[in-house]
Amino acid sequence: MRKTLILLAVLFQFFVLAYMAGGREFILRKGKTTYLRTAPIDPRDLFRGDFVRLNYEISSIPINKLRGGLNLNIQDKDRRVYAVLAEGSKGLAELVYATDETPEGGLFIKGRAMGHWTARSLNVRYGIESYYVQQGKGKDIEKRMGRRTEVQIPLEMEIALGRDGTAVIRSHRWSPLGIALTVLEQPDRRQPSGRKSAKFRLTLVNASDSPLSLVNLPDHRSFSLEPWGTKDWVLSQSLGEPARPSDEDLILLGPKESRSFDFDFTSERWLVKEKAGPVETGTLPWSERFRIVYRAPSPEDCRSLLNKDLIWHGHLPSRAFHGMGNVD
Amino acid sequence: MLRHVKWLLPEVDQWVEAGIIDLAQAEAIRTRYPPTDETTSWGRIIFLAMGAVLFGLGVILLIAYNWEEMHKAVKLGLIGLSLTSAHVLGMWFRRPESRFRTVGEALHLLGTMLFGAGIWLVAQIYHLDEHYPNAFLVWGVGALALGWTLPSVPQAILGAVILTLWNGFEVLSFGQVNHLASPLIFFGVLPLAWAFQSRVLLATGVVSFLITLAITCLGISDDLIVPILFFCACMLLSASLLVREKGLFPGSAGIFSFLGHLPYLAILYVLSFPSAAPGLLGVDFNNRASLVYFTLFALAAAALWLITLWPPSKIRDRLSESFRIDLLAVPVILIIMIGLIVLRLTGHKAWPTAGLFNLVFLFHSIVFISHGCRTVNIRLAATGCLLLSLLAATRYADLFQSLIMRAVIFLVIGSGLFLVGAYYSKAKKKAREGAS
Repeated sequence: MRKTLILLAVLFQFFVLAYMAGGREFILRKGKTTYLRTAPIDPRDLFRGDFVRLNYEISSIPINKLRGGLNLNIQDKDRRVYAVLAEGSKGLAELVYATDETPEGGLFIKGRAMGHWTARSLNVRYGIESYYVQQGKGKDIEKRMGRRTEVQIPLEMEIALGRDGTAVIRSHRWSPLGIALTVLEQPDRRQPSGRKSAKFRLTLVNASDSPLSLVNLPDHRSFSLEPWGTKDWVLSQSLGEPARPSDEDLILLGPKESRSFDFDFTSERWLVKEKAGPVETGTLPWSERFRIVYRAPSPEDCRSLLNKDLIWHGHLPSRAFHGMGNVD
Repeated sequence: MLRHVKWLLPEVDQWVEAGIIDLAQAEAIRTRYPPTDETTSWGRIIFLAMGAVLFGLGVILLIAYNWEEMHKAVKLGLIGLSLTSAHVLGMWFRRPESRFRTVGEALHLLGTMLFGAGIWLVAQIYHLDEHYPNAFLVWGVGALALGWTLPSVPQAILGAVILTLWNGFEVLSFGQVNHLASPLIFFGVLPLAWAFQSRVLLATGVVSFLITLAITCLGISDDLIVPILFFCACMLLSASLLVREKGLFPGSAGIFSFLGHLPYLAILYVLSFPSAAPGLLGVDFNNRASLVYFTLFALAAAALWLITLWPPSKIRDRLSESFRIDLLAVPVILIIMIGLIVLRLTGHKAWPTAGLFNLVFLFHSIVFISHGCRTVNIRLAATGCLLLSLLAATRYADLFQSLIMRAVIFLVIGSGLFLVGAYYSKAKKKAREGAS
């Protein structure tokens, strides 16, 4: 009898490990595959060699994308959260919304709310925030990801998703396009009559080993302003019919080559709608952050263009910022 | 076997031979101090465990390096194989006929260490970054399960320590109140210590329980820590009397007494500060968890003291024996404490509340000294002197402003301690003369 009990206790230890490994292995083999874009935090774990601490775009969910019973004031710090995703080009997933109710289908990932650092977004952990690599390799990955003040090349994690939304990291790839956001001119608060919003420079870099093409539609129509705060702000100026790309809009970038684009948020092009009329983003409350998103036209729209095979069809958001020039 | 029992049993035979005691008395002594089953050879276990842990660490770090070339199946195989080999070899060496049962114990310990490391290594292989306190829970339960089934004191100790860490991380890192940890340690570790008559496991279990409970109380409400720990201290002091009187679990009375006195005196001392006393005695009974914990532990402490002192007619007889009067004061102070918190007897005013605890602390110090001198117990007498000096030094700062008053206090305390020394020497001399 005692021997059986000892055996059961030993088997318990063995099966815990087998269950942990087996469950994840099943998801890796049978789960849906998607890619999630990340931003770096900080590497190295003394006990388990190197690891890259991952912060996904979907790790911070803006208040305007919270649904169901989710809000920034939830008391239950460990509340279950489901991030509903939509798959974009190259399998890269984008957040549609987050809810505390289990979605009935589609692409979604399971996580837990971790509270909020700011008044505009809810932090969520999905259990895939650590990426373990061979000792010594973590620094290399961190270096390539870049710092917030310089060009950053997003790491795109290949994720296997189980039917219940459990996520397992399969591997990683690098985005072929790097991005940097710098402030060219910032309002001086001591001069109320001066500029109210900042002027930014967005730089896109070909981080791949082969040439690629960007498409810059007239009036910077390839770039959109995405609200990342408490309201769904929309631009006050309508640009009319969507522009069709032409060969003149193509920008060919060789490996490591870059192109910069300037955005002056005092100009009419970037004013947003308020009840009283159009306002500059720099005059909005601190909770109202934005991202500039580069989004290439679809492959169908580019069918007739020269070098159409070189066009990168993804989308790439900048770091979040406030119109006054404060970059997160 | 406990050291004093090991010494006592052959000594009893010699006393019978020398005609000091008769056979019936010898049998009564043997029954009171039975040879226990605690055959754990700690020296050997520690050395073997260190070797086993270092070996295991080598395996863990080999995998933790996270070789890119090493397929995950190989890594998983290594983890599984190390775990299985450690336990299978452990079972082999622990056979009843084996001469190396301690080696078996160490190997099982290594197996459980590898199990814990395995949890993190599997997490590394699959890049898991989940709620990490869960890993401590599973690891602790795994250790405790082996502690019961083998049965093994080192496994149970490991289990208690890991479960304490689990609770700590849940409450301190995630702010989640964990009501399960304290009962798990109480019912998972202490009965095993009792069954084994293992003092080491008993001490570990009690300390783990107290730490876990304090951290859980911190998670519920800060103001719950002092009353709950005080009630636990009262229960431990009562348990020390019960086991001593009923002759249960030899050697446990000292552990209960020491681990009971420590928080008991510490809390009395903290409450002797006028700035701290009112704040520490204000439990928020609107918080349901606070109400449940307070009621449960207050009732348990009161019930245990009732059992200890029952029947009341025997209290006088007990006092004439070696029963210290200050221990009888514990239930009285327990009732006062409940009254202070529930009925707000002193209105939570600074000096009336702190003054009461100053007097109680002073009372305990004096009883320690007088009882220590009378029974020639140097440890007790010295502790009493230390407590008295501590109280005088503390009140020096916040009670007496005049330098003359301060000087008088120190002169009085200093002279008193000299007298204690003289009285103790006299008592010791008298005891020696009585013995010869």
